[in-house]
Amino acid sequence: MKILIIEDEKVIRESIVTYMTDERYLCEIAVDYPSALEKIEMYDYDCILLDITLPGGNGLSLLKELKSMNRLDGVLIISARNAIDDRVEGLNLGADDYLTKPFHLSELSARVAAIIRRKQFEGNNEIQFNEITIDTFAKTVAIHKTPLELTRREFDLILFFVTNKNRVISKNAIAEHLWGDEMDSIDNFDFIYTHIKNLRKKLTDAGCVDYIHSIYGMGYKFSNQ
Amino acid sequence: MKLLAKYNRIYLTASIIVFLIIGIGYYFVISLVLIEQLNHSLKDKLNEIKTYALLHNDLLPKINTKHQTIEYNPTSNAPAKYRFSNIPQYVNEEHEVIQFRQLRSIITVKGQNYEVLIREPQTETDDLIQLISVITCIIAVFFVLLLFVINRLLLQNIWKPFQHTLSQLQRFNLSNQNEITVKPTDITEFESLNKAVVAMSGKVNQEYHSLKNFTENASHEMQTPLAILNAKLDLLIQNENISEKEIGQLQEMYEALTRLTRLNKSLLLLTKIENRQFAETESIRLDQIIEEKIVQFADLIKARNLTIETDIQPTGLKMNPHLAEIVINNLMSNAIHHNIENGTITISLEQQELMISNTGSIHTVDPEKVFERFQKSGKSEGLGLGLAIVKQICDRYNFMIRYSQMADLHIIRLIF
Repeated sequence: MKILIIEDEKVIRESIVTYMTDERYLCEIAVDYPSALEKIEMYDYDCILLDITLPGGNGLSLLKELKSMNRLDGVLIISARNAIDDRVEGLNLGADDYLTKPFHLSELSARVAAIIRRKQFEGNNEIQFNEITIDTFAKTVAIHKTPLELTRREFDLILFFVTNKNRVISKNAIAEHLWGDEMDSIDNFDFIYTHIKNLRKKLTDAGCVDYIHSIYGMGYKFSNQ
Repeated sequence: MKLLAKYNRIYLTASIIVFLIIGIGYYFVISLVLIEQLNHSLKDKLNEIKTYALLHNDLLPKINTKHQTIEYNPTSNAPAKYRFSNIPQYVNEEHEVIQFRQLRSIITVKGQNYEVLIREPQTETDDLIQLISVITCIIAVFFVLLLFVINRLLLQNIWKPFQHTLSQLQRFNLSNQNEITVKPTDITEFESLNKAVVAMSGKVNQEYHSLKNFTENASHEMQTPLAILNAKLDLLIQNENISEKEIGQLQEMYEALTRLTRLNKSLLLLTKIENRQFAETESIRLDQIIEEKIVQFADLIKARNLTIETDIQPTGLKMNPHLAEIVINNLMSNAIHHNIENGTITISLEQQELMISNTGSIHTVDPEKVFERFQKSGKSEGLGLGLAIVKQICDRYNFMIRYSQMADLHIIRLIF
């Protein structure tokens, strides 16, 4: 999968590149409007990460360019500005999603994966990880082809894990992914533990290997080993 | 019109005093002049008598009319200079006592001294004086009144530009950011006043704006370094060779970062609401928002084993939907956060009022301060901005919000 990262802030850009490269994406970068435009005109991408506060031109104009070129590249807007207007305008101009800084890299990764899935497989969204089959369209999970009953949160959780497999995901990132704004009222992340425990039990009861590893003090890692 | 009243008072008092002084002076002058006239008439007569006596060596035959009476009284007194006096005398024909002006002198005719008395009535003189006085009074009163009226009209007119500027000033409201408009005037002082007022209000608006912008810009600027920290931490934890101690430290960094991020987002939201963004309003159903939020918070509610009791009527409001959601979100978040294990939350909603109460600690909170920024009760880890944001939104829509406490029950009431 090839992605284009348009971000002028060096440290953020490099962090994204590192993380996404580890996720097996091919990453290309652009640091300002002119070079971004050049890259877009020359190549196709599966997903474009677009920072709209770009020097040399408003990132939203890039969106308009893409649209006028009738391109099918997925677009994820990343921005420091959380203005509703920007959001609405961005989505109206054809962006697929909008993520505000600061964000967790695992969250970014999950969103990119979601965009690519929607773009590429029209209607048939299946992710396979060993014996786990996730249908992202129907929102169902099957172990060894046998359907598994999961709550909505548990589904989101397993999808998040699988999308970020082999990465260490912090508890914060999980909490923010699942509960977003209600996060304010959470004192500690202990009850995330409860959810994960429930998910684990359901998976293992259905005959699945326990891929969820606790990384002490930090979070979790979903991997084969 | 305070100014006019004061002006009138001073002006009227001064006018009346002046006119009184003038009037009295005038009265005396006229009196003097007229009496002098009488005196001259009497003296003329005396001279006539004296001249006649010199020429004819006899007393002038007297012809006594209503207007002049002459008396000759032989006397043994020596010749004396003339003297004037006022003599009241009863006059038969008029049936009353009349004042006479009398001239008395002693002359010698044919070796005999005579006291000569010449008298003229003062009535006409007195009448004249009276008439003149009355006319003068009337003129004075008329004059004063006329000026009073003119002044009132004139002053009202002249001060119009001032009144206009004054009302503009009174209507000036910093958060409304309205401009002060002034009407051009040809009165120098008012023109200066207008210029100063416009300049000052412009400057004040500008400063306010840049202060607001500053807060918003500062918050925005903070997003980027926060994002960097976040990204770096995310990468750092991928390293499997971190010792337990270091992991603990990383987790604490993560948590601090999360708090900082949330704080920044809340501050940003607060300034945006203060800056009157989120201007669009819609008809929203508050009851639906509450139901949705209860579902969203279900996990958290279960985690603390809280019980929720609701009494919710369909309620419609006109406000920005995003802000409505924030209000409910923060109120519920607050009720959950400050609750105790196995506690309860009660929500009741009707057209005029929303009430949400939760069990909690029995520490008393100052009801005045509970909605200020960064107010926290003892143990809470919360930011203290949640309720401040709610208050800001309530202020915006003129909702009343009150906090009260009964033992361990904390109650927040919103009145629409």
